[in-house]
Amino acid sequence: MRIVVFCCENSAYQAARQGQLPAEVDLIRLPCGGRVEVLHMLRAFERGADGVLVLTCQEDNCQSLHGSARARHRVEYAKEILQEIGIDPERLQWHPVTSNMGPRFRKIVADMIEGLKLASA
Amino acid sequence: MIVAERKPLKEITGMLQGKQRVLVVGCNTCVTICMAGGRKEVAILASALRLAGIEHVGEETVERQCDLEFLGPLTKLGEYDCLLSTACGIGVQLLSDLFPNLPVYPALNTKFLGVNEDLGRWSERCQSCGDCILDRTGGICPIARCSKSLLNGPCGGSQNGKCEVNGDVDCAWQLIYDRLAARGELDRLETIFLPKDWSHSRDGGPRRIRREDVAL
Repeated sequence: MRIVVFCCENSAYQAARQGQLPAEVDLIRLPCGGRVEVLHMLRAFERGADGVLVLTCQEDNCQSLHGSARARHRVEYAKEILQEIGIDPERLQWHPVTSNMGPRFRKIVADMIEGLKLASA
Repeated sequence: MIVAERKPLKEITGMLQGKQRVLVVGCNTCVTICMAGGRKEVAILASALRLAGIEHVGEETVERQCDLEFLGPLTKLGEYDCLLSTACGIGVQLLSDLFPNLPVYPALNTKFLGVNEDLGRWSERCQSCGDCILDRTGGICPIARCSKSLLNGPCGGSQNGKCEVNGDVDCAWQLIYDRLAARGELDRLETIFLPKDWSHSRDGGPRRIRREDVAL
């Protein structure tokens, strides 16, 4: 199982470094959540990802002002595409994760792994 | 610009049923600006189609799909079962003319001639009626922006500056009145518009322009 996690380097990437990453995770560091595009998420699925997470700053605490909101909107759009082509949109999720939220980061990843295992059981 | 939006993917995959080699052809002009069919949208659509199970999906975006001059590179492409155009209806038709033996499917619905009002918001401004009257209406088109295309408005459905058809729609004739009032040109409204000669529009059949100074 592969999970691609797009992380804003100002928040979720810092949280990711606070502990051991599960073997299933491919971490992608972004300069801002606003850098992630719909195509990046779809490409991750095309290349075999079972799940994709986009983890950015809280929306009111983005250094680029609107980066996290852009990421969330793009995730919502990409989820619609997945739904339309028959892929469970829950395989793609956006969550805000601040830099000091190591445990939350690991819980979000663990929950996705668990959800994917249940879906494939 | 011409404003369009992508058809639902279910409709697109329905058109492509049984096709395993699809070339998605985008356009770098209007549909790029309205974020419906440019290079980026071609990549997203192609990716979605591959995820939906189509074996081979190619991607190509030309400068202007409504101009034969820019379609040359497409003739050198490999074997495809069909083309999927993310241009407006004009591009789809020109591709069909260029490849008469190949099905060309539209990925977009061409919506209107309009402006980009704000991020992610477009609205209609022109119906290409062929006989512009914007000089008399303060630069606001009652043909495109009045729901009834009234030439001597407003009608009784104008309430608080909004149209009875939809409360989100501004009454074009209220806008015209306000614009002319601000310019001190309200006297323009004393001239009654005569019935419009629609032969310059669709009533005259498909329209053509020929410029002898340009033609060879």
